[in-house]
Amino acid sequence: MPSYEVHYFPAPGRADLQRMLLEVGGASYTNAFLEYMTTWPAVKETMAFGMVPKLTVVESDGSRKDLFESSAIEAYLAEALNLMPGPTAFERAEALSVISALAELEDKVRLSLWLPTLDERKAAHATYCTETVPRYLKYQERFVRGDWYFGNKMTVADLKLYQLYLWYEDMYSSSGQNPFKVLAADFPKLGKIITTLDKGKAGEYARERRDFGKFGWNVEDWKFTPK
Amino acid sequence: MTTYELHYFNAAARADLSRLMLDFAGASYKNVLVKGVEWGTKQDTTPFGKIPVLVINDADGSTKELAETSAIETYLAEVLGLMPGSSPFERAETLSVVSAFVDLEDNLVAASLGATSEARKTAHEKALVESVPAYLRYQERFVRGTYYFGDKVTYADLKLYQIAFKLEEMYGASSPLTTRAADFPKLTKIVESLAAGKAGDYTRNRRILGIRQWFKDEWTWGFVAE
Repeated sequence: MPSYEVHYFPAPGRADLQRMLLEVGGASYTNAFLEYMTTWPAVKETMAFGMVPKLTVVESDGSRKDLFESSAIEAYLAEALNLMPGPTAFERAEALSVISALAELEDKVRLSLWLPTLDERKAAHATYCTETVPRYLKYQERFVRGDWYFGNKMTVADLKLYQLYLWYEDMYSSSGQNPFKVLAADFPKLGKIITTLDKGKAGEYARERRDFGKFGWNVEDWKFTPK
Repeated sequence: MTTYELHYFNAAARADLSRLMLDFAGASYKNVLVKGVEWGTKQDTTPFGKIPVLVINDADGSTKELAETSAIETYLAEVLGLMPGSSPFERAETLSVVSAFVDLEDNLVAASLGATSEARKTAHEKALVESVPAYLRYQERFVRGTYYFGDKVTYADLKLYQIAFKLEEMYGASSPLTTRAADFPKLTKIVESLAAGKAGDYTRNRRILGIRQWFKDEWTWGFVAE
């Protein structure tokens, strides 16, 4: 059985879903944290594309191989940890299509984080939560094919949904604006997936091992800032 | 034999590489071009309210559909023999190359977000000198043989090729792959090799550019009349 190292900053960010996959998949892993101002610049050039996260796969014979780019890492771990709907190319691609659509929704809020004034940020987040999110989630709700996205088996698609829910909690719990909660009545199947995951290993990861106390949502400023 | 339909607008954009892959691999496929006026009624029939959508018609008569550009390309790469190997790691490594190129594309989209053509011009000229060569430098370093993963053309090489002609469409002779070709010998060799073969034939004779074009004086993509 291989073990894994997740090389990233001490924040959920773009490593959150892969850490969740490793936890739910029962894999042995460690976090190799990089500090943005000190250790990160020294190792940036060693990364295949100059970016992290990096996943190091450590085989039982001690050999190591590195994988970069969160979407590739997530696809790899989902397959390696039996968190895909099935073994065929089509089944795996369908799971990736759900992740891709949710990632597109996730990306749509990023611009709001960087708007120059507090008022602009608050307004952009409000529009995102009330207009953009339901537009995307209605298709997600329709897609769900059972207790989980793909029927009876929990997969990376469900975990991606939960990872998005957690990020919304980071940003919106203090203002009671998490669209998954505000619009819960419109998205019962998605809500049930989140509730179920929250009670299991994914929820335990979220509460115990997802946040490293270094960064947080600044309620006054509507930004993520160092603590 | 499996046949494919690729449903998308009459434009290159997010269908460009899937079409290239299907053509390059000699698959039996057709383009279903969606007109702007048709999109309203079609939208809710798609899995996530977006196109492209790939329709797969299996030899046994069954049909299935797949949405999302990255998922469609990943699927086609696997079934059309355009992955370096069958193991999950090899396939994921290929996806990582493509993902890094998509990052570059997103960077260029950001450069066109400025409100004025002056602002956009400044952003693009900066990208041409800074971010684009930086992205390409990592890609050049990654190449492991004649092609990205050795002797065989894969999804990674075809993504590079798609990026190369996007850069040419946008920047003409100012594309860093041209102005700094000496810095990117391996990437240049891959692009030239593909241009000389089936991929080049597709690009010259069957590639759909359609209604979306780069407006070079505006430094942005836009639409011409349908």
